[in-house]
Amino acid sequence: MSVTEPTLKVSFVGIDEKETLILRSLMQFMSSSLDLELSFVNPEQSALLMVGVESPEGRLAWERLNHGPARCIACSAERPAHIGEQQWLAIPFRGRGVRELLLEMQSWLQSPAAVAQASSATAARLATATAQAVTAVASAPPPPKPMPSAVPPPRMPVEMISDSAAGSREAGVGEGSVRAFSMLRLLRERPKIAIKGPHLPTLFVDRDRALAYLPELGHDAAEDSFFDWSLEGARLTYGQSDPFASGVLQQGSVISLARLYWLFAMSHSQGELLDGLDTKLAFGLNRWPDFGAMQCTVEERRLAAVMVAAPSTISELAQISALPRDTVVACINCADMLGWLRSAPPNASQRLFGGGLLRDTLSLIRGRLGLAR
Amino acid sequence: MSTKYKEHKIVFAGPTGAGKTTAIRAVSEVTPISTEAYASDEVREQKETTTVALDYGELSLSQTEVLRLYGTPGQERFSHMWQMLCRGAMGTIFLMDNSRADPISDLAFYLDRFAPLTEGQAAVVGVTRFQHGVGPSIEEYHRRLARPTPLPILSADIRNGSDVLMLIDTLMLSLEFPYKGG
Repeated sequence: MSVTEPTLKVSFVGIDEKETLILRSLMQFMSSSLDLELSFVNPEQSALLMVGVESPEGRLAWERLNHGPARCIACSAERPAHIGEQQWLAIPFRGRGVRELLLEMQSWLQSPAAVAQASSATAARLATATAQAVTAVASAPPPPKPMPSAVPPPRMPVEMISDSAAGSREAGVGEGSVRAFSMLRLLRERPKIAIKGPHLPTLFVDRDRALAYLPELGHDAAEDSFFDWSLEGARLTYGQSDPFASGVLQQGSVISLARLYWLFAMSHSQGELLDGLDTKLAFGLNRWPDFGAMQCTVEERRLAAVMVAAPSTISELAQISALPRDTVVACINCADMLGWLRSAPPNASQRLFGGGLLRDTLSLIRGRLGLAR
Repeated sequence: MSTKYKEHKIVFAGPTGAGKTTAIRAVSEVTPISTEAYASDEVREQKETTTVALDYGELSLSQTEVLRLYGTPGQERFSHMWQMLCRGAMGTIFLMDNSRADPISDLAFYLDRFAPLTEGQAAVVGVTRFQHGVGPSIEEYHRRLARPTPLPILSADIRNGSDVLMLIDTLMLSLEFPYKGG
């Protein structure tokens, strides 16, 4: 059985430099979690042509190349009327849209039709068509970053480097396989960290400001990105430098730290508590989460409220919140990473429900407000 | 013959322009009553009109029960209204405008002034006009407001009705699950 990943040859026409950089970063980032290899090439060699149809250059390229062998995707702020039902990607680029496109291209590349098409001699025809349409944007693409191999890389130890004023130096290396959570937990001890993975943009995390920041991605792209985030082989640095200097935040992608950790815990916990947490203990929160920033559901808010009131066991929390055990565990892991967790022996759990009359009234209000569970 | 309703009350408090009137409009099923007047003082720089007595909205819960929503006037010179409006309330939702010069001090002021008026009631803070990297973060609110019991402090866009519901839900959760320490 072949394990060769399909290679998707991509080029960009008529998209401005900044958006091209963002799209490239997102594509590289997303492809690292798919069985898909990317190659950035000239338009005449590409199988996927991303066309900025709002620029004259892009409009010309679209007219000439849209019915050629390459798959053309129109890119613009609003869906243009003239493209009909054809695929379109919104500018500014968002991780979710890029990921869907890559998933579709991955399926297409594995289809017999695509295999046949890839072997056909279409390059000359494309070259002629693009000669007038394509300018420097496409002619000098930056060298592609190293692509992931077919075999997943081995787990690497977490490397910690201090970026003190004296310059970067190695401060310590974790032993063996260090779980990704360990890196994020370090924020309890270090106010600022940066994480750089082999296929990731650099992520800056600032405990004091409770923000995570991806300077290499466009505004609002961070959350989409973290759905697929993996810290395998990532490198960690920490220090006093402030990646959130005034004004910088407007240029990159910002996400609330709590929301980031919540997404991460939900996708990576898999029903297991972090090292050092005992399933027999009762768990609580030492503060209320910011439900607005974390975009918690009604049930998740209820879980948090129970945990703020008093520590409870995992099974009690699952029962009262009506959430699956895995979600409760993810919440505990998230709270631990953020330093919000408190624990107590299980016999300290207390009866939490308010009086029957109060509960009836609250149920009535929730029902009227559409908050009923 | 008049119907005797069982009343429940939620109060919205906070400085001028934080969104109290908007929040009540988002939830009320009747046309809210506002006692707004043209601003004649420094408030004029923020908005044309301001609440001088109260905002009022309501939501019927059943044939015999009603939820009343009151917004207090933001300016301290109308503070005599605060006590009247807080009497018998289930709790208070404090709305803080994060774009103001020192919103954490604003909140400390309101918490201090309302403490004797809201004893035994629940409280929630909604931080409005919240933007990442602009103004204090929610963490800074928690750090600077050292309190014996945890206080819910949530970022909220009051123009969004679901955020108003989130604040009310949190208020009710803190009533249903009162802090027990441990």
